[in-house]
Amino acid sequence: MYFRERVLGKDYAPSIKQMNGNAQILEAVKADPNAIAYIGFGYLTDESGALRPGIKVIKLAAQSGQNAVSPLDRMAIKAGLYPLTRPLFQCTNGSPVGKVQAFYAFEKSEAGQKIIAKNGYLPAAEAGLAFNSGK
Amino acid sequence: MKRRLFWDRFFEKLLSGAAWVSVLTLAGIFLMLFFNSMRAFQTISIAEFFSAAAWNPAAFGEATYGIGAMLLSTFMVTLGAMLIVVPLGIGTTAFLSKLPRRARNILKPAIEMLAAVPSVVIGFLGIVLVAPALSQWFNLPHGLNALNGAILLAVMALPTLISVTEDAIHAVPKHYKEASYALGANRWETLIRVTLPSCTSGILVAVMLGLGRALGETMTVLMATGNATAMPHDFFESVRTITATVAIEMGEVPFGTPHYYSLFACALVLFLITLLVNVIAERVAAGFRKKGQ
Repeated sequence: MYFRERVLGKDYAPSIKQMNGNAQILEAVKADPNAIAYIGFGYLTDESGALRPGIKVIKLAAQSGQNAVSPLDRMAIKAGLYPLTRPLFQCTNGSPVGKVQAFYAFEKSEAGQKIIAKNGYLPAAEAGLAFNSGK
Repeated sequence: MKRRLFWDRFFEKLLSGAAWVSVLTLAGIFLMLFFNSMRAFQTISIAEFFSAAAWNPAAFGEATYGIGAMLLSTFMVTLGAMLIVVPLGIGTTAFLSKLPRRARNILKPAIEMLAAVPSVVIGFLGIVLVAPALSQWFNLPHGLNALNGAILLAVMALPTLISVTEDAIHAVPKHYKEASYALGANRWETLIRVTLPSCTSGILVAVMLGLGRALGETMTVLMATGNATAMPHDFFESVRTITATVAIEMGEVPFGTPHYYSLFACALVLFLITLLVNVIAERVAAGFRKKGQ
């Protein structure tokens, strides 16, 4: 829904192929010379942070005339220059207590944020951390 | 004496209870699908559901609920699989029946082991093995299409088909064949004119069971057929079966919406088709058993 609102502004073609998850999308793009797809950017890189072979990452700009940036450019994303970013939500049943609360605290800690970054995701933005500590 | 009577009654009740559990589960599943489907049809017209080709419940514009393309996709993949597996299965069985007992005792269990391969593994083979092969042979940009699904389902239906057909061929009385040989028919003529015709209904049951299995298969087709909702025109296009649609969308659908209930309606349609196939198979099998006596 996000992609249709933000990028296309209309429906997908009915002939669009749907895959069972990001990893399968990646494999399908590698195999098909005509393929184009969008995936979560944690799937672009391997454990050491290098781009996975066999794919090409397309640079994007929010408006024509602006400099297009790659999603692999962390600083550009943090500066808000890459147009397709969105936060990832976690839901709990009511306000977190006990073990869940402890887990949240760990996620927000420096060690937790390091693990998130190591797995190819961006650490929580300032706004997100502020929103969470407010609760 | 009293204690024996107690245990006797106890196990009788326990086993009849177990039998009822499976009946009630089936009835419960049917009712759950039926009532949830009815809620879908409060907002979606039944005519649109069955006649419209386009399935786009999460549309950016107006949502459409038509299972036409999905029904066709399901039938293309399953019937395609049957076209591949029936000649292959009957041929294999005919060959098996001519083998000496010792070779058959090794080969038949080996073939039946094929049924133990998880569907997700078959689907994975579809992605890494069948899809590249298809795209190379037929010069396609990718191999995630109806043909891929049909080939994989054929592989999955093969053990059922061979096992049941083998039993049917085995049940043909020996004196039929002996009479045929005595009349001067060779082995090929005996097979085609005598053995196979006298176990047609057994083979039909095997085909129906294979069909029932292929219709309900989800993971394999979900991984290998590309899942495009567009109306397919040939076997080289991506298709999306009813099972794949329910599997893909059930995880993402907002709870309690017409879209949510429409997935139950899809499942109900699939349930009824599979039930019909199984009832026909059961009827044919019953007739077959009667004739055998």
